[in-house]
Amino acid sequence: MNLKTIGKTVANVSMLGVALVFLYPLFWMFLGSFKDNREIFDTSLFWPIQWTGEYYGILIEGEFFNFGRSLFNSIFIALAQGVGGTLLASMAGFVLGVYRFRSRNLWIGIGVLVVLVPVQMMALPLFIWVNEVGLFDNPVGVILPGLVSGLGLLFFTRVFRQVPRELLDVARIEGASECRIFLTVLPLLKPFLIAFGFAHFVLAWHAHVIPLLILHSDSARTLPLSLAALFGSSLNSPQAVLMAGSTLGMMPLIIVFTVAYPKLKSALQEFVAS
Amino acid sequence: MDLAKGKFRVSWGRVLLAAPFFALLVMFWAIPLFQGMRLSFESDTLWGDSHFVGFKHYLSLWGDPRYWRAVWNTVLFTVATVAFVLGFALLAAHALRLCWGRIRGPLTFAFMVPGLCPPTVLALLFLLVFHGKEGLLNQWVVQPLGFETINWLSDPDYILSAVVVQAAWRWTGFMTFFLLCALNARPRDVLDAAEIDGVNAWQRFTKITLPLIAPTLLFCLIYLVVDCFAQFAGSYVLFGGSGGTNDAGLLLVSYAYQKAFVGGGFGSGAAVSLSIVPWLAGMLFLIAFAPRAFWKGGGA
Repeated sequence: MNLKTIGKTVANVSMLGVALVFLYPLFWMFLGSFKDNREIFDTSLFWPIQWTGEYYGILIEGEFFNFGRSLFNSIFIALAQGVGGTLLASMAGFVLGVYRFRSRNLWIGIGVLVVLVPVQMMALPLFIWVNEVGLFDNPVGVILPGLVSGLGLLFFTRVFRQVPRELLDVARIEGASECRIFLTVLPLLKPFLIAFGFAHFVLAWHAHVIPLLILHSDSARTLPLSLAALFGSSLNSPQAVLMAGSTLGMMPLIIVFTVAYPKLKSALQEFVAS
Repeated sequence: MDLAKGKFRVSWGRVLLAAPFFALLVMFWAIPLFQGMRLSFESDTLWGDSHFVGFKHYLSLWGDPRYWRAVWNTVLFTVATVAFVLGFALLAAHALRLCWGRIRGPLTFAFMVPGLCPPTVLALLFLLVFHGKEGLLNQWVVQPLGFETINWLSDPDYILSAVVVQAAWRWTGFMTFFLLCALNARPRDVLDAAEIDGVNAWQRFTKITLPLIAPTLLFCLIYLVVDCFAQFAGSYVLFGGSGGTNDAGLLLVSYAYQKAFVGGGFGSGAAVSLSIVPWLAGMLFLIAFAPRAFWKGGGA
Protein backbone atom coordinates (compact mmCIF):
# COMPACT_ATOMS: atom_id res chain seq x y z
CA MET A 1 0.00 0.00 0.00
CA ASN A 2 1.46 3.32 -0.97
CA LEU A 3 0.93 6.65 0.71
CA LYS A 4 -1.87 7.69 -1.59
CA THR A 5 -4.01 4.62 -0.85
CA ILE A 6 -3.53 5.14 2.87
CA GLY A 7 -4.50 8.79 2.52
CA LYS A 8 -7.61 7.85 0.59
CA THR A 9 -8.63 5.24 3.13
CA VAL A 10 -8.16 7.67 5.99
CA ALA A 11 -10.23 10.30 4.15
CA ASN A 12 -13.04 7.86 3.40
CA VAL A 13 -13.26 6.51 6.93
CA SER A 14 -12.97 9.87 8.67
CA MET A 15 -15.53 11.57 6.44
CA LEU A 16 -17.92 8.70 6.97
CA GLY A 17 -17.43 9.14 10.70
CA VAL A 18 -18.03 12.88 10.51
CA ALA A 19 -21.18 12.35 8.44
CA LEU A 20 -22.52 10.00 11.13
CA VAL A 21 -21.79 12.56 13.86
CA PHE A 22 -23.56 15.22 11.80
CA LEU A 23 -26.62 13.12 11.18
CA TYR A 24 -26.79 11.68 14.68
CA PRO A 25 -28.83 14.44 16.35
CA LEU A 26 -31.37 14.31 13.53
CA PHE A 27 -31.60 10.56 13.69
CA TRP A 28 -32.05 10.82 17.41
CA MET A 29 -34.81 13.38 16.88
CA PHE A 30 -36.55 10.96 14.55
CA LEU A 31 -36.26 8.09 17.04
CA GLY A 32 -37.33 10.46 19.79
CA SER A 33 -40.69 10.91 18.12
CA PHE A 34 -41.53 7.36 19.23
CA LYS A 35 -40.33 7.60 22.83
CA ASP A 36 -42.06 8.72 26.01
CA ASN A 37 -40.43 11.40 28.15
CA ARG A 38 -38.55 8.98 30.36
CA GLU A 39 -37.09 7.15 27.38
CA ILE A 40 -36.00 10.39 25.74
CA PHE A 41 -33.91 11.50 28.67
CA ASP A 42 -32.45 8.05 29.17
CA THR A 43 -29.47 8.18 26.83
CA SER A 44 -28.56 4.53 27.36
CA LEU A 45 -31.64 3.78 25.31
CA PHE A 46 -31.04 4.19 21.62
CA TRP A 47 -34.03 2.53 20.02
CA PRO A 48 -37.52 3.25 21.33
CA ILE A 49 -38.92 0.47 23.49
CA GLN A 50 -42.05 0.41 21.44
CA TRP A 51 -42.61 1.79 17.96
CA THR A 52 -45.80 3.73 18.19
CA GLY A 53 -47.33 6.29 15.90
CA GLU A 54 -49.29 7.65 18.83
CA TYR A 55 -47.36 10.92 19.07
CA TYR A 56 -47.75 11.65 15.38
CA GLY A 57 -51.48 11.16 15.93
CA ILE A 58 -51.54 13.59 18.84
CA LEU A 59 -49.56 16.09 16.79
CA ILE A 60 -51.78 15.96 13.75
CA GLU A 61 -55.00 16.00 15.75
CA GLY A 62 -53.81 19.32 17.04
CA GLU A 63 -54.05 18.82 20.77
CA PHE A 64 -51.21 21.28 21.39
CA PHE A 65 -51.33 23.48 18.33
CA ASN A 66 -52.87 23.35 14.89
CA PHE A 67 -50.18 21.43 13.08
CA GLY A 68 -51.73 21.51 9.61
CA ARG A 69 -52.33 25.22 9.82
CA SER A 70 -48.76 25.97 10.97
CA LEU A 71 -47.30 23.75 8.28
CA PHE A 72 -49.44 25.48 5.66
CA ASN A 73 -48.34 28.91 6.93
CA SER A 74 -44.70 27.88 6.74
CA ILE A 75 -45.02 26.50 3.23
CA PHE A 76 -46.98 29.51 2.05
CA ILE A 77 -44.59 32.09 3.48
CA ALA A 78 -41.39 30.30 2.46
CA LEU A 79 -42.65 29.58 -1.03
CA ALA A 80 -43.80 33.14 -1.60
CA GLN A 81 -40.47 34.47 -0.35
CA GLY A 82 -38.43 31.95 -2.31
CA VAL A 83 -40.17 32.54 -5.62
CA GLY A 84 -40.77 36.27 -5.18
CA GLY A 85 -37.32 37.00 -3.79
CA THR A 86 -35.66 35.17 -6.68
CA LEU A 87 -37.76 36.98 -9.24
CA LEU A 88 -37.15 40.46 -7.82
CA ALA A 89 -33.44 39.92 -7.28
CA SER A 90 -32.97 38.50 -10.78
CA MET A 91 -34.85 41.41 -12.35
CA ALA A 92 -32.75 44.01 -10.56
CA GLY A 93 -29.59 41.93 -11.04
CA PHE A 94 -30.26 41.82 -14.76
CA VAL A 95 -30.35 45.59 -14.96
CA LEU A 96 -27.18 45.99 -12.90
CA GLY A 97 -25.32 43.12 -14.53
CA VAL A 98 -26.03 43.77 -18.18
CA TYR A 99 -26.16 47.56 -18.57
CA ARG A 100 -23.48 50.12 -17.88
CA PHE A 101 -24.76 53.39 -16.49
CA ARG A 102 -23.64 56.09 -14.18
CA SER A 103 -25.40 55.19 -10.95
CA ARG A 104 -24.77 51.46 -11.29
CA ASN A 105 -22.12 51.26 -8.58
CA LEU A 106 -24.37 53.19 -6.23
CA TRP A 107 -27.09 50.55 -6.52
CA ILE A 108 -24.58 47.75 -6.06
CA GLY A 109 -23.27 49.59 -3.01
CA ILE A 110 -26.79 49.67 -1.58
CA GLY A 111 -26.96 45.91 -2.13
CA VAL A 112 -23.75 45.50 -0.12
CA LEU A 113 -25.24 47.62 2.68
CA VAL A 114 -28.33 45.42 2.81
CA VAL A 115 -26.07 42.39 3.21
CA LEU A 116 -24.14 44.08 6.00
CA VAL A 117 -27.18 45.29 7.93
CA PRO A 118 -29.51 42.31 7.91
CA VAL A 119 -33.12 43.07 8.61
CA GLN A 120 -33.08 40.89 11.74
CA MET A 121 -30.99 43.55 13.39
CA MET A 122 -33.73 46.07 12.81
CA ALA A 123 -36.45 43.69 13.93
CA LEU A 124 -37.84 46.16 16.43
CA PRO A 125 -38.32 49.22 14.18
CA LEU A 126 -39.47 46.91 11.40
CA PHE A 127 -42.07 45.49 13.76
CA ILE A 128 -43.32 48.97 14.62
CA TRP A 129 -43.35 49.98 10.97
CA VAL A 130 -45.23 46.87 9.85
CA ASN A 131 -47.74 47.70 12.56
CA GLU A 132 -48.18 51.21 11.26
CA VAL A 133 -48.65 49.95 7.72
CA GLY A 134 -51.38 47.68 9.07
CA LEU A 135 -49.81 44.34 8.29
CA PHE A 136 -49.50 43.14 11.89
CA ASP A 137 -50.42 39.48 12.34
CA ASN A 138 -50.62 39.16 8.58
CA PRO A 139 -48.37 36.77 6.62
CA VAL A 140 -47.92 39.52 4.03
CA GLY A 141 -46.12 41.54 6.71
CA VAL A 142 -43.53 38.77 6.94
CA ILE A 143 -43.32 38.03 3.23
CA LEU A 144 -42.76 41.55 1.89
CA PRO A 145 -39.68 42.36 4.00
CA GLY A 146 -38.41 38.89 3.17
CA LEU A 147 -38.43 39.55 -0.56
CA VAL A 148 -35.47 41.89 -0.34
CA SER A 149 -32.19 40.03 -0.46
CA GLY A 150 -28.96 41.98 -0.83
CA LEU A 151 -27.09 38.75 -1.37
CA GLY A 152 -29.50 37.89 -4.19
CA LEU A 153 -28.90 41.22 -5.89
CA LEU A 154 -25.12 40.74 -5.82
CA PHE A 155 -25.43 37.12 -6.90
CA PHE A 156 -27.60 37.86 -9.93
CA THR A 157 -25.58 40.92 -10.90
CA ARG A 158 -22.60 38.62 -11.26
CA VAL A 159 -24.59 35.87 -12.95
CA PHE A 160 -25.98 38.23 -15.59
CA ARG A 161 -22.55 39.67 -16.20
CA GLN A 162 -21.49 36.35 -17.70
CA VAL A 163 -24.28 36.17 -20.22
CA PRO A 164 -22.55 36.39 -23.62
CA ARG A 165 -22.67 39.91 -25.07
CA GLU A 166 -23.42 38.56 -28.56
CA LEU A 167 -26.67 37.08 -27.37
CA LEU A 168 -27.81 40.38 -25.92
CA ASP A 169 -26.68 42.30 -29.00
CA VAL A 170 -28.61 40.02 -31.30
CA ALA A 171 -31.73 40.53 -29.21
CA ARG A 172 -31.20 44.28 -29.22
CA ILE A 173 -30.72 44.44 -32.99
CA GLU A 174 -33.93 42.47 -33.37
CA GLY A 175 -35.52 45.35 -31.53
CA ALA A 176 -36.53 43.43 -28.44
CA SER A 177 -37.44 45.55 -25.43
CA GLU A 178 -35.48 45.20 -22.21
CA CYS A 179 -38.19 43.20 -20.48
CA ARG A 180 -38.30 40.94 -23.50
CA ILE A 181 -34.52 40.39 -23.42
CA PHE A 182 -34.75 39.58 -19.71
CA LEU A 183 -37.43 36.97 -20.34
CA THR A 184 -35.37 35.45 -23.16
CA VAL A 185 -32.21 35.15 -21.09
CA LEU A 186 -33.92 33.90 -17.91
CA PRO A 187 -34.46 30.26 -18.96
CA LEU A 188 -30.73 29.96 -19.72
CA LEU A 189 -30.00 30.65 -16.07
CA LYS A 190 -32.25 28.00 -14.61
CA PRO A 191 -29.62 26.37 -12.36
CA PHE A 192 -28.79 29.75 -10.82
CA LEU A 193 -32.45 30.57 -10.27
CA ILE A 194 -33.02 27.22 -8.61
CA ALA A 195 -29.90 27.53 -6.46
CA PHE A 196 -30.80 30.95 -5.15
CA GLY A 197 -34.50 30.18 -4.86
CA PHE A 198 -33.70 27.14 -2.78
CA ALA A 199 -31.39 29.04 -0.43
CA HIS A 200 -33.93 31.81 -0.02
CA PHE A 201 -36.73 29.31 0.61
CA VAL A 202 -34.74 27.59 3.34
CA LEU A 203 -33.77 30.84 5.04
CA ALA A 204 -37.40 31.98 4.95
CA TRP A 205 -38.47 28.70 6.53
CA HIS A 206 -35.87 29.19 9.26
CA ALA A 207 -36.74 32.81 10.02
CA HIS A 208 -37.48 33.33 13.67
CA VAL A 209 -37.24 36.88 15.01
CA ILE A 210 -39.39 38.67 12.47
CA PRO A 211 -42.22 36.10 12.31
CA LEU A 212 -42.09 35.92 16.12
CA LEU A 213 -42.77 39.64 16.39
CA ILE A 214 -45.22 40.06 13.53
CA LEU A 215 -47.29 36.88 13.63
CA HIS A 216 -49.16 37.05 16.85
CA SER A 217 -52.21 34.81 16.73
CA ASP A 218 -51.90 31.03 16.88
CA SER A 219 -53.47 30.56 13.47
CA ALA A 220 -50.91 32.80 11.77
CA ARG A 221 -47.84 31.17 13.31
CA THR A 222 -45.27 29.31 11.27
CA LEU A 223 -44.18 25.81 12.24
CA PRO A 224 -40.85 26.75 13.88
CA LEU A 225 -42.71 29.32 15.99
CA SER A 226 -45.37 26.84 17.07
CA LEU A 227 -42.75 24.27 17.97
CA ALA A 228 -40.75 26.79 19.97
CA ALA A 229 -43.90 27.94 21.76
CA LEU A 230 -44.90 24.36 22.57
CA PHE A 231 -41.45 23.73 23.92
CA GLY A 232 -41.55 26.82 26.05
CA SER A 233 -45.00 26.04 27.43
CA SER A 234 -44.28 22.99 29.54
CA LEU A 235 -41.63 20.38 30.02
CA ASN A 236 -44.25 17.83 31.04
CA SER A 237 -45.96 17.66 27.69
CA PRO A 238 -44.73 14.69 25.71
CA GLN A 239 -41.44 15.65 24.12
CA ALA A 240 -42.14 13.06 21.44
CA VAL A 241 -44.82 15.34 19.98
CA LEU A 242 -42.19 18.02 19.63
CA MET A 243 -39.83 15.55 17.99
CA ALA A 244 -42.58 14.37 15.67
CA GLY A 245 -43.39 17.95 14.71
CA SER A 246 -39.74 18.75 14.10
CA THR A 247 -39.32 15.61 11.99
CA LEU A 248 -42.36 16.31 9.85
CA GLY A 249 -41.41 19.98 9.66
CA MET A 250 -38.06 19.12 8.12
CA MET A 251 -39.54 16.82 5.49
CA PRO A 252 -40.52 19.55 3.00
CA LEU A 253 -37.02 21.01 3.23
CA ILE A 254 -35.35 17.65 2.69
CA ILE A 255 -37.58 16.91 -0.30
CA VAL A 256 -36.87 20.29 -1.89
CA PHE A 257 -33.17 19.87 -1.15
CA THR A 258 -33.02 16.42 -2.73
CA VAL A 259 -34.65 17.74 -5.88
CA ALA A 260 -32.51 20.88 -6.05
CA TYR A 261 -29.16 19.35 -5.06
CA PRO A 262 -27.77 18.43 -8.52
CA LYS A 263 -28.73 21.84 -9.92
CA LEU A 264 -27.28 23.53 -6.86
CA LYS A 265 -23.96 21.87 -7.47
CA SER A 266 -23.68 22.70 -11.15
CA ALA A 267 -24.79 26.29 -10.59
CA LEU A 268 -22.31 26.87 -7.82
CA GLN A 269 -19.43 25.29 -9.67
CA GLU A 270 -20.10 27.46 -12.68
CA PHE A 271 -20.55 30.57 -10.54
CA VAL A 272 -17.29 30.02 -8.72
CA ALA A 273 -15.37 29.24 -11.90
CA SER A 274 -16.47 32.41 -13.66
CA MET B 1 -23.90 66.46 -18.05
CA ASP B 2 -25.45 63.62 -19.86
CA LEU B 3 -27.87 66.01 -21.43
CA ALA B 4 -25.03 68.05 -22.88
CA LYS B 5 -23.65 64.99 -24.55
CA GLY B 6 -27.07 64.18 -25.83
CA LYS B 7 -26.94 60.73 -24.25
CA PHE B 8 -29.50 61.22 -21.52
CA ARG B 9 -32.44 58.96 -21.91
CA VAL B 10 -34.58 57.29 -19.30
CA SER B 11 -34.91 53.67 -20.14
CA TRP B 12 -38.29 52.68 -18.80
CA GLY B 13 -37.67 49.00 -19.31
CA ARG B 14 -34.74 49.08 -16.92
CA VAL B 15 -36.57 51.17 -14.36
CA LEU B 16 -39.52 48.81 -14.51
CA LEU B 17 -37.31 45.78 -13.93
CA ALA B 18 -35.27 47.22 -11.08
CA ALA B 19 -38.05 49.21 -9.40
CA PRO B 20 -39.88 46.46 -7.47
CA PHE B 21 -36.73 45.31 -5.71
CA PHE B 22 -35.58 48.77 -4.73
CA ALA B 23 -39.07 49.94 -3.82
CA LEU B 24 -39.39 47.10 -1.31
CA LEU B 25 -35.87 47.78 -0.16
CA VAL B 26 -36.82 51.35 0.71
CA MET B 27 -40.12 50.28 2.26
CA PHE B 28 -38.90 47.44 4.45
CA TRP B 29 -35.22 48.09 4.91
CA ALA B 30 -34.41 51.79 4.61
CA ILE B 31 -37.50 53.10 6.41
CA PRO B 32 -37.15 50.74 9.39
CA LEU B 33 -33.47 51.62 9.53
CA PHE B 34 -34.20 55.35 9.72
CA GLN B 35 -37.08 54.85 12.11
CA GLY B 36 -34.77 52.80 14.27
CA MET B 37 -32.28 55.64 14.29
CA ARG B 38 -34.99 58.11 15.23
CA LEU B 39 -36.30 55.78 17.92
CA SER B 40 -32.88 55.42 19.45
CA PHE B 41 -32.85 59.14 20.16
CA GLU B 42 -36.22 59.11 21.88
CA SER B 43 -37.32 58.35 25.40
CA ASP B 44 -38.26 54.87 26.49
CA THR B 45 -42.03 55.10 26.32
CA LEU B 46 -44.15 52.39 24.80
CA TRP B 47 -46.45 53.61 22.02
CA GLY B 48 -47.40 57.24 21.89
CA ASP B 49 -45.77 60.12 23.76
CA SER B 50 -42.06 60.15 23.54
CA HIS B 51 -39.62 62.98 23.44
CA PHE B 52 -36.18 63.59 22.06
CA VAL B 53 -33.40 62.61 24.43
CA GLY B 54 -30.37 62.84 22.17
CA PHE B 55 -27.56 60.43 22.78
CA LYS B 56 -28.81 59.43 26.23
CA HIS B 57 -29.39 55.78 25.36
CA TYR B 58 -26.05 55.44 23.67
CA LEU B 59 -24.28 57.09 26.59
CA SER B 60 -25.94 54.81 29.09
CA LEU B 61 -24.91 51.81 26.98
CA TRP B 62 -21.35 53.03 27.19
CA GLY B 63 -21.44 52.62 30.97
CA ASP B 64 -23.50 49.44 30.96
CA PRO B 65 -21.45 46.35 31.87
CA ARG B 66 -24.15 44.04 30.49
CA TYR B 67 -23.83 45.73 27.12
CA TRP B 68 -20.08 45.21 27.04
CA ARG B 69 -20.61 41.65 28.11
CA ALA B 70 -22.94 41.19 25.12
CA VAL B 71 -20.43 42.80 22.76
CA TRP B 72 -17.63 40.60 24.04
CA ASN B 73 -19.79 37.47 23.83
CA THR B 74 -20.90 38.26 20.31
CA VAL B 75 -17.37 38.85 19.08
CA LEU B 76 -16.09 35.74 20.83
CA PHE B 77 -18.96 33.67 19.49
CA THR B 78 -18.37 34.96 15.96
CA VAL B 79 -14.63 34.42 15.95
CA ALA B 80 -14.90 30.94 17.43
CA THR B 81 -17.66 29.88 15.04
CA VAL B 82 -15.97 31.26 11.94
CA ALA B 83 -12.59 29.79 12.83
CA PHE B 84 -14.04 26.39 13.55
CA VAL B 85 -16.42 26.23 10.61
CA LEU B 86 -14.02 27.49 7.94
CA GLY B 87 -11.07 25.49 9.23
CA PHE B 88 -13.06 22.32 9.34
CA ALA B 89 -14.83 22.99 6.04
CA LEU B 90 -11.54 23.51 4.24
CA LEU B 91 -10.21 20.25 5.62
CA ALA B 92 -13.41 18.35 4.88
CA ALA B 93 -13.62 19.70 1.32
CA HIS B 94 -10.13 18.38 0.60
CA ALA B 95 -10.90 15.07 2.27
CA LEU B 96 -14.14 14.70 0.32
CA ARG B 97 -12.23 15.04 -2.93
CA LEU B 98 -10.11 12.09 -1.88
CA CYS B 99 -13.19 10.02 -1.11
CA TRP B 100 -14.40 7.20 -3.23
CA GLY B 101 -16.47 8.71 -6.06
CA ARG B 102 -19.60 6.82 -5.29
CA ILE B 103 -19.94 7.95 -1.68
CA ARG B 104 -18.68 11.50 -2.23
CA GLY B 105 -22.09 12.78 -3.30
CA PRO B 106 -24.07 11.15 -0.49
CA LEU B 107 -21.48 12.26 2.08
CA THR B 108 -21.66 15.89 0.94
CA PHE B 109 -25.43 15.62 1.03
CA ALA B 110 -25.33 14.23 4.56
CA PHE B 111 -23.06 17.06 5.70
CA MET B 112 -25.56 19.60 4.47
CA VAL B 113 -28.71 18.16 6.01
CA PRO B 114 -28.08 19.83 9.40
CA GLY B 115 -28.17 23.14 7.55
CA LEU B 116 -31.80 22.43 6.70
CA CYS B 117 -32.75 22.17 10.35
CA PRO B 118 -34.53 25.36 11.46
CA PRO B 119 -32.54 27.10 14.21
CA THR B 120 -35.46 26.84 16.64
CA VAL B 121 -35.70 23.08 16.16
CA LEU B 122 -31.95 22.92 16.31
CA ALA B 123 -31.96 24.65 19.66
CA LEU B 124 -34.58 22.20 20.96
CA LEU B 125 -32.45 19.29 19.81
CA PHE B 126 -29.35 20.70 21.36
CA LEU B 127 -31.09 21.41 24.58
CA LEU B 128 -31.24 17.67 24.95
CA VAL B 129 -27.71 17.18 23.65
CA PHE B 130 -26.39 19.60 26.24
CA HIS B 131 -28.82 18.62 28.96
CA GLY B 132 -27.32 18.42 32.48
CA LYS B 133 -26.04 15.02 33.46
CA GLU B 134 -28.10 12.94 31.10
CA GLY B 135 -27.32 14.96 27.97
CA LEU B 136 -25.75 13.19 25.04
CA LEU B 137 -22.54 15.18 25.14
CA ASN B 138 -21.96 14.30 28.78
CA GLN B 139 -22.93 10.67 28.46
CA TRP B 140 -21.09 9.96 25.24
CA VAL B 141 -18.10 12.26 25.19
CA VAL B 142 -17.32 13.90 28.50
CA GLN B 143 -17.77 10.93 30.83
CA PRO B 144 -16.10 8.29 28.65
CA LEU B 145 -13.08 10.59 28.41
CA GLY B 146 -12.94 10.57 32.19
CA PHE B 147 -13.98 14.15 32.90
CA GLU B 148 -16.56 15.43 35.35
CA THR B 149 -19.91 16.04 33.72
CA ILE B 150 -20.33 19.60 32.57
CA ASN B 151 -23.56 21.47 32.90
CA TRP B 152 -23.34 23.01 29.44
CA LEU B 153 -26.31 25.30 29.75
CA SER B 154 -25.81 26.70 33.23
CA ASP B 155 -22.07 26.69 33.83
CA PRO B 156 -21.03 30.17 32.67
CA ASP B 157 -17.72 28.85 31.40
CA TYR B 158 -19.40 26.62 28.86
CA ILE B 159 -22.61 28.38 27.83
CA LEU B 160 -21.09 30.16 24.89
CA SER B 161 -19.47 27.00 23.58
CA ALA B 162 -22.94 25.45 23.49
CA VAL B 163 -24.07 28.23 21.16
CA VAL B 164 -20.93 27.81 19.06
CA VAL B 165 -21.41 24.06 18.69
CA GLN B 166 -24.94 24.71 17.49
CA ALA B 167 -23.92 27.26 14.87
CA ALA B 168 -21.05 25.07 13.73
CA TRP B 169 -23.28 22.04 13.35
CA ARG B 170 -25.65 24.06 11.26
CA TRP B 171 -23.25 25.78 8.88
CA THR B 172 -20.25 23.52 8.45
CA GLY B 173 -21.90 21.36 5.80
CA PHE B 174 -22.96 24.23 3.56
CA MET B 175 -19.57 25.90 3.81
CA THR B 176 -17.89 22.60 2.98
CA PHE B 177 -20.12 22.37 -0.07
CA PHE B 178 -19.22 25.89 -1.24
CA LEU B 179 -15.52 25.22 -0.81
CA LEU B 180 -15.81 21.84 -2.51
CA CYS B 181 -17.37 23.51 -5.55
CA ALA B 182 -14.57 26.09 -5.54
CA LEU B 183 -11.95 23.34 -5.34
CA ASN B 184 -13.57 21.46 -8.19
CA ALA B 185 -13.60 24.61 -10.30
CA ARG B 186 -9.82 25.07 -10.14
CA PRO B 187 -8.26 24.67 -13.59
CA ARG B 188 -6.79 21.18 -13.74
CA ASP B 189 -3.88 21.98 -16.03
CA VAL B 190 -2.35 24.52 -13.65
CA LEU B 191 -2.38 22.07 -10.76
CA ASP B 192 -1.04 19.24 -12.89
CA ALA B 193 1.75 21.41 -14.27
CA ALA B 194 2.74 22.43 -10.74
CA GLU B 195 2.75 18.82 -9.60
CA ILE B 196 4.94 17.72 -12.53
CA ASP B 197 7.33 20.59 -11.81
CA GLY B 198 7.77 19.15 -8.34
CA VAL B 199 5.92 21.79 -6.30
CA ASN B 200 5.04 20.13 -3.00
CA ALA B 201 1.52 19.73 -1.71
CA TRP B 202 1.73 22.51 0.87
CA GLN B 203 3.03 25.01 -1.65
CA ARG B 204 0.40 23.97 -4.16
CA PHE B 205 -2.16 24.70 -1.48
CA THR B 206 -0.84 28.08 -0.38
CA LYS B 207 0.37 29.39 -3.73
CA ILE B 208 -2.24 28.05 -6.13
CA THR B 209 -5.33 26.77 -4.37
CA LEU B 210 -5.75 29.51 -1.76
CA PRO B 211 -5.62 32.42 -4.24
CA LEU B 212 -8.02 30.56 -6.52
CA ILE B 213 -10.61 29.87 -3.84
CA ALA B 214 -10.09 33.21 -2.05
CA PRO B 215 -13.31 34.80 -3.35
CA THR B 216 -15.39 31.82 -2.20
CA LEU B 217 -13.61 31.71 1.14
CA LEU B 218 -14.28 35.39 1.54
CA PHE B 219 -17.94 34.97 0.73
CA CYS B 220 -18.22 32.23 3.37
CA LEU B 221 -16.40 34.42 5.86
CA ILE B 222 -18.65 37.43 5.33
CA TYR B 223 -21.79 35.32 5.34
CA LEU B 224 -20.83 33.63 8.60
CA VAL B 225 -19.81 36.85 10.33
CA VAL B 226 -23.08 38.56 9.41
CA ASP B 227 -25.12 35.51 10.39
CA CYS B 228 -23.35 35.19 13.74
CA PHE B 229 -23.99 38.84 14.52
CA ALA B 230 -27.66 38.46 13.69
CA GLN B 231 -27.89 35.20 15.65
CA PHE B 232 -30.95 35.13 17.84
CA ALA B 233 -32.97 31.94 17.61
CA GLY B 234 -30.30 29.71 19.11
CA SER B 235 -29.71 31.64 22.27
CA TYR B 236 -33.37 32.65 22.51
CA VAL B 237 -34.60 29.09 22.73
CA LEU B 238 -31.70 27.86 24.84
CA PHE B 239 -31.95 30.62 27.43
CA GLY B 240 -35.51 31.83 26.91
CA GLY B 241 -34.43 35.29 25.77
CA SER B 242 -32.23 35.85 28.82
CA GLY B 243 -28.48 35.66 28.79
CA GLY B 244 -28.13 32.45 30.80
CA THR B 245 -26.16 32.29 34.06
CA ASN B 246 -24.23 35.53 34.68
CA ASP B 247 -25.16 36.64 31.15
CA ALA B 248 -22.50 34.29 29.85
CA GLY B 249 -24.62 33.56 26.79
CA LEU B 250 -25.95 37.08 26.23
CA LEU B 251 -25.63 38.14 22.60
CA LEU B 252 -26.26 41.61 21.19
CA VAL B 253 -29.47 40.75 19.37
CA SER B 254 -30.94 39.02 22.42
CA TYR B 255 -29.94 41.99 24.57
CA ALA B 256 -31.78 44.34 22.22
CA TYR B 257 -34.82 42.06 22.39
CA GLN B 258 -34.66 42.00 26.19
CA LYS B 259 -34.37 45.76 26.50
CA ALA B 260 -37.26 46.39 24.14
CA PHE B 261 -39.77 43.68 24.96
CA VAL B 262 -38.91 42.52 28.47
CA GLY B 263 -37.77 45.89 29.77
CA GLY B 264 -40.30 47.83 27.72
CA GLY B 265 -37.72 50.34 26.49
CA PHE B 266 -38.13 50.66 22.77
CA GLY B 267 -35.68 53.55 22.57
CA SER B 268 -32.82 51.82 24.34
CA GLY B 269 -33.60 48.58 22.53
CA ALA B 270 -33.27 50.35 19.21
CA ALA B 271 -30.02 51.91 20.41
CA VAL B 272 -28.62 48.45 21.17
CA SER B 273 -29.74 47.17 17.76
CA LEU B 274 -28.16 50.05 15.90
CA SER B 275 -24.97 49.90 17.88
CA ILE B 276 -24.47 46.45 16.38
CA VAL B 277 -23.88 48.02 12.97
CA PRO B 278 -20.51 49.66 13.81
CA TRP B 279 -19.34 46.49 15.55
CA LEU B 280 -20.20 44.44 12.53
CA ALA B 281 -18.65 46.98 10.19
CA GLY B 282 -15.49 46.99 12.28
CA MET B 283 -15.37 43.23 12.22
CA LEU B 284 -15.73 43.23 8.45
CA PHE B 285 -13.22 46.03 8.12
CA LEU B 286 -10.70 43.62 9.58
CA ILE B 287 -11.31 41.63 6.46
CA ALA B 288 -10.60 44.85 4.62
CA PHE B 289 -9.71 43.64 1.19
CA ALA B 290 -13.06 41.89 1.07
CA PRO B 291 -15.16 43.60 -1.63
CA ARG B 292 -12.22 44.00 -3.98
CA ALA B 293 -11.29 40.33 -4.00
CA PHE B 294 -14.94 39.34 -4.32
CA TRP B 295 -15.44 41.43 -7.42
CA LYS B 296 -12.03 40.61 -8.82
CA GLY B 297 -13.14 37.02 -8.93
CA GLY B 298 -15.91 38.07 -11.30
CA GLY B 299 -15.63 38.24 -15.05
CA ALA B 300 -16.09 41.32 -17.25
